Amino acid sequence: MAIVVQHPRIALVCTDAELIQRTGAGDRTAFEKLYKRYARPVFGLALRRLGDRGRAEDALQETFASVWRSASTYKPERGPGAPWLYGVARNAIVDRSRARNEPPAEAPDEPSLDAGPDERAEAAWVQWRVHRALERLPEREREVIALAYWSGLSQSEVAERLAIPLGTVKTRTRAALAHLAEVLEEDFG
Amino acid sequence: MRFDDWVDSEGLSTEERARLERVHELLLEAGPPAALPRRLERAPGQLVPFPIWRRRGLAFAAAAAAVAAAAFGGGYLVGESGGSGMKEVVVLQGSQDAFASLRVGASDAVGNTPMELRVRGLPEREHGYYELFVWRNGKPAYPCTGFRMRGDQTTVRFTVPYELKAGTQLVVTFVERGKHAWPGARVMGPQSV
Repeated sequence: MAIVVQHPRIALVCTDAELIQRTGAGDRTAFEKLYKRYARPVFGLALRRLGDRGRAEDALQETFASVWRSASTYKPERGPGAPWLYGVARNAIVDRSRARNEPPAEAPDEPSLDAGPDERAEAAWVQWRVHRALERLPEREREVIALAYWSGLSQSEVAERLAIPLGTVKTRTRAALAHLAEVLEEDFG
Repeated sequence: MRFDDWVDSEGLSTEERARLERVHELLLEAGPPAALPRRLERAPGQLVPFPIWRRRGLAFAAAAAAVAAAAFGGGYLVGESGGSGMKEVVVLQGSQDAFASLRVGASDAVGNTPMELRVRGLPEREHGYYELFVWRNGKPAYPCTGFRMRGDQTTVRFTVPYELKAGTQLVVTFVERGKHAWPGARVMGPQSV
């Protein structure tokens, strides 16, 4: 199915696949862009799986060391860049767990305390996709999403915090959701 | 958190509404992103893939195929101070599995410089030890520390009574008892090796 990209500014951004390929050719700038996009999702994934900030930090650094050294092996014809990066991160995190001879200590999610491995893996993947997509939003849209969904503030408090009318909070949230939908469709189909 | 409370849904087609509602659900499911430590907001130091150095004719060559070597300055030194005051200096790579990083702190009043070396993926070996050197003009200039691997990963903290300057290289050697004279065999080095 063809995906219609409605916002050219998003379409102009390099895809993950392009950045990985450039990284594989030794392009430091591309590597830094990848880091900017993925550092937070990788760290979140590591934190979730390892349950320890120090170990998550190590896993983050090792993930990007792996990206640097293995980016040249990435084959775009085999799939988009995001799942490839997810695999690299997951391997680094598992390695970090093994280094301590401990099983991955995934912190349980409140809504899914009884979730099995498949459900946990699915939840981690959803988190990865969403957090990675957030990194692609303009700052003001990312900000409104963070305040609306995770700050616990009311709409009027968000409006006050951002110094915008109440109605603008809702229109900006709508625009942010639309952009997120595009990024998610663009990167993951 | 209800979709209609937060999103201006006026004029949305049924299809578009369903699309945005799906993203809304995904956001709720994903939860907030983790706060990245400030010192990790930027990419780590330049990652320098060094070729594996193999010393032909020596039995340890295969096992020691992965070791770390580091060069300071000249484009290799990147990173920034964290809460510990240490700088993330180098990411080191040997084989696919070997990896090391070095952090360097600020020298104290009498000139001791704290360092932290994290190594993983080197073989754990009984009859010898690894040694980290400052390497100049093809020779060891100063020893930094010796270490053994325990399991897959080892972290070594130490101080040296000098400062590392731009262009200084670090090399890890392996000293096998009864086989190699100190400083041991350089198991990996910069591109020239």
